[in-house]
Amino acid sequence: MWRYLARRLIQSFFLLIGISLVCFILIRMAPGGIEAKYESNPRITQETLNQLREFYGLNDPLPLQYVKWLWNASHFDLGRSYDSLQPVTNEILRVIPNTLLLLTMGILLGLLGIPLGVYIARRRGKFADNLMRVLTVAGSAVPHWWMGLLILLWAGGIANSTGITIIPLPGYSAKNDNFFYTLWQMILPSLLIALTGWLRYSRLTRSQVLDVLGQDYVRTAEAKGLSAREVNNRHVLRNALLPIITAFGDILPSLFGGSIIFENIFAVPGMGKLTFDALNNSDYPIAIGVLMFSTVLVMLGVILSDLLYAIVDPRVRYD
Amino acid sequence: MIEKIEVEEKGVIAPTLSKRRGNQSKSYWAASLERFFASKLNIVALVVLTLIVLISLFAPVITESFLKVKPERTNVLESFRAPGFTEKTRDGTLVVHWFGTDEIGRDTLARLLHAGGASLLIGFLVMLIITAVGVPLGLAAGYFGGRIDDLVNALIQFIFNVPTLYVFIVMGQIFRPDIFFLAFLFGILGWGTTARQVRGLTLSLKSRDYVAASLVAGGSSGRVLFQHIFPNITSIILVLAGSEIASAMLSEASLSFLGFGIHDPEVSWGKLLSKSSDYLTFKGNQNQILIIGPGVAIFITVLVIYLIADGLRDAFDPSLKS
Repeated sequence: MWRYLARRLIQSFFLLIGISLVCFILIRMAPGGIEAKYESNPRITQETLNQLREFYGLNDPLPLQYVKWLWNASHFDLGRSYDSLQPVTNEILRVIPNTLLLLTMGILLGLLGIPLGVYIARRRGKFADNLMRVLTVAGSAVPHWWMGLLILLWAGGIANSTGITIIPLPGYSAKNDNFFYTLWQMILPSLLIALTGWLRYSRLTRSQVLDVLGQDYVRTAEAKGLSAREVNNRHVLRNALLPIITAFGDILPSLFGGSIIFENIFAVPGMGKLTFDALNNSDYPIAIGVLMFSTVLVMLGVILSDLLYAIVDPRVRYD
Repeated sequence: MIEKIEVEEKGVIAPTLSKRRGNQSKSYWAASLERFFASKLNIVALVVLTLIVLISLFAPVITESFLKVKPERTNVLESFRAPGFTEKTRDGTLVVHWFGTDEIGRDTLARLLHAGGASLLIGFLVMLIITAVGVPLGLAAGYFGGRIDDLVNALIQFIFNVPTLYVFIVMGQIFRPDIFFLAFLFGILGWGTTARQVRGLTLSLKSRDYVAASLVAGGSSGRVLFQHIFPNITSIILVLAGSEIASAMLSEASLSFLGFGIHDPEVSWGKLLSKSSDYLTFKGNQNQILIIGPGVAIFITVLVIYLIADGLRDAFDPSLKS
């Protein structure tokens, strides 16, 4: 397993180098950037612009710029924002708690899909099962963020006409020092993120449970006189829930991506919102910094879920 | 020959016999299609999808002749009108806005009809790219194994680990992509699932006896791949292609909603939502169809594509039906 871990880490290292190289070249090729920002400002002379370019290291040849950037990035220094002039790392650290909170809540709530899957597996072919099948197809065809828009449209309409706020409307800074209020504001976006988990996990758990129920060892367990509860807990669930861990690794990138949209709709000041604003302001150091940072996080998450799989299931061997 | 036999064998047996033979000789594809059309849901889905495609194709004609309004015609004085609003134009004709108007007085229905084309085109193009890249790579990885397999697996691992939406919005900002470039972006980062599935199938088909027989008989790798393995996975490729269209349409909607997908003057359903969501809780906005309409359009289109893909899977392999 250690060899596997080492191999995965080496792979990830090359992946990071590859992504950073591609992104770096693309971003340097991109229009806008520091010149566009100050071009129309009459108080910025050519000389100042040159100083700025020097400050951001834009006058070096491209390969040198990249090597410098990579060297600094390996020391957790991702450069400075064009916009706020703050170090990119500070900007990211400022917003990352919100994104992590949102994603954690979404993932935890999404785990409720597992008991749901067990339930519908037990009612196979009955009403609950068929209903969930319809809902799963419909749920994967609808953009979840659009449902967020609909809920906001509806809640906003009520708030506009009656003044009653049913759910927290976007607008984040209001009571930011109150942690519980923050949690309350995150409820709706995290429920929408959890929707992915509900659809995915319930489907997966259902098919896994049905699969395991047909196995010989379950029949053996029943034949030797174990109670239904014991068979369920010790034999069925243990085996059926294993693939969930892999599924978690699979949906992590899309969860991260989804957080961009939800943070935008619900005005959560997280990584997605930071990227969105940075791109709209041609603030490229932030954009590339966030991209690298989220890639690292996603990669660690995927590796972690793979390792967890091997730890939980002794039959899985990586070599 | 057959006619002769039928003539000689009189009575009831001959026709039933020939009928049975007719059933037996039905090809795999014909039988699958028959199973597909046996389900009413599949037929409904297919009809709805055909309608959507036709409407999107002929959107200019439809808006011109039935709605009598161009999607780009603006009238700022009549913005955010409720559905069914009748506008009196300057030359005195009456124009009914069945779905109301948007923030600069454009007809919502006309724009909805026009937007479908871009969404569908992107879905279709992405599917083509994914199939063109994913299937050969999956086949090669599964059949040849070894170094090629390692390489393809590493590539798949690579694109699975990328937080794609982050990459898309960065690219979207940098390149201001048109439909084709957007489809290219989605395609090159989206072939992982298809390649993985094809690889797995090829791997299991490779160990079949008829493959071994073909190799023993002196068949080349190319012959085995194209004569024995590929025909066996075409049905799965078709099913995968269907769901790739659907998921590409959803990705396009997300990206355009964020404002990094399709750019003006082109419209797609996601793009329409992007503009409308700016006026989400605006009190003067009397037209909720601006938010509801494009989402419903995406939902129905993606839903019928998923249903068709599902129906095809069941039809091709009845044993999979749970």
